[in-house]
Amino acid sequence: MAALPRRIIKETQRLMQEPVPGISAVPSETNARYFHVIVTGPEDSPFEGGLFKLELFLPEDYPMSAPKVRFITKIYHPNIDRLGRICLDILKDKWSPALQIRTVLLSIQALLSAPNPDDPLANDVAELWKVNESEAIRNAKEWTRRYAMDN
Amino acid sequence: MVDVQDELREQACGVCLEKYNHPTKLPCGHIFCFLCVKGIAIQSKKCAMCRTEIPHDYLNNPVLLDNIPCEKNSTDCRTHDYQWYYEGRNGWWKYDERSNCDLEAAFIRGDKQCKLLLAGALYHVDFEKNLQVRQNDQTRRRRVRRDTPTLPSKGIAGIKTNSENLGGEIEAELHREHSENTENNEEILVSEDLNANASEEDLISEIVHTLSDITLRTQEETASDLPDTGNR
Repeated sequence: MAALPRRIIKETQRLMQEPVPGISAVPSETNARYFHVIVTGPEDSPFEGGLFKLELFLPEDYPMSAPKVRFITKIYHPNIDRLGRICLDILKDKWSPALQIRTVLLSIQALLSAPNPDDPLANDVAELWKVNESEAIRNAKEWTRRYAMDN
Repeated sequence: MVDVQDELREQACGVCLEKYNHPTKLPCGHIFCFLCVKGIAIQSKKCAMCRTEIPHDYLNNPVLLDNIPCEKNSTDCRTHDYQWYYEGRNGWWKYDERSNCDLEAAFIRGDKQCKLLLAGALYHVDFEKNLQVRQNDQTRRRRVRRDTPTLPSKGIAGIKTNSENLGGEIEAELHREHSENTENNEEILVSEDLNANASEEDLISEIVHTLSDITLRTQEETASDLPDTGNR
């Protein structure tokens, strides 16, 4: 019934034609607003070598409101909770309609390189990250190996 | 001036990612389509590029950089035989070029309705009732019509175009969704007032027009047409 807004078509085409290295986002065959996303863990981070699945949904009033993004793959990160919800300002109050799917996913990838335990979503993870960073990083590597490396 | 406009035609708006449609400049210097500016001025109230706050009265006097109806921009659309209009105070507004294409395409396909994202809000245009209804506030409705492009209109999408204006002045005005029963009556009264004055000197009628316009505007601004600020 409703035609897909031109901006979404444009972003989708560009994601296919000029993919962002380390990120893939493919629209669902049944819903062009729902994207299957895979983000590779950044180099020199405890998530290196992992392939993390996410889901991304563009609400009806996108780009006036932010996409809804969630990790599907379990991940040990102070700003991502056990349901995969992400604490990232640009997905909330710092959203701007000039941001795009690709910039959002790049920001999420950057969040993997730079965990911020002072603004936690997963409190136990953040706590450990603050008091015993090496153990937290060990856990993150272990989770990456266990959940993000078996295809 | 011509150069600037040519340049603008080649660039894309940061919000809709398309070529500028009625480029409009914010006080911070960033440029977006008029309807994109309207969306962010109403919703986030911040520039989409630098997050500078947009003055709350900006939409009363937006800085439009292009007063040429930009049919050249909608090259992908061949719908110039028909124009879609929505009803405003004492007159009809043309839909912007893109929405016009979407409406016409849906109408030709035989759809019963068409969904539009206008200035950040979703609207349903019902082709059977000839009515535009705001999705999140069903009391906000306007009549719509499909007509020839030459129908006398107030302007395009809230950008007033006076043909006999002073030096190409363009006055933009907030979209106002009228609940059919109340405000449209008000409109009719206004236009009758104007007709009564029409026999008198043009100047006087011009002043009356301006005054009633200003009065209405102030009233409606306090009544607030902004989304998410409560319903009528």
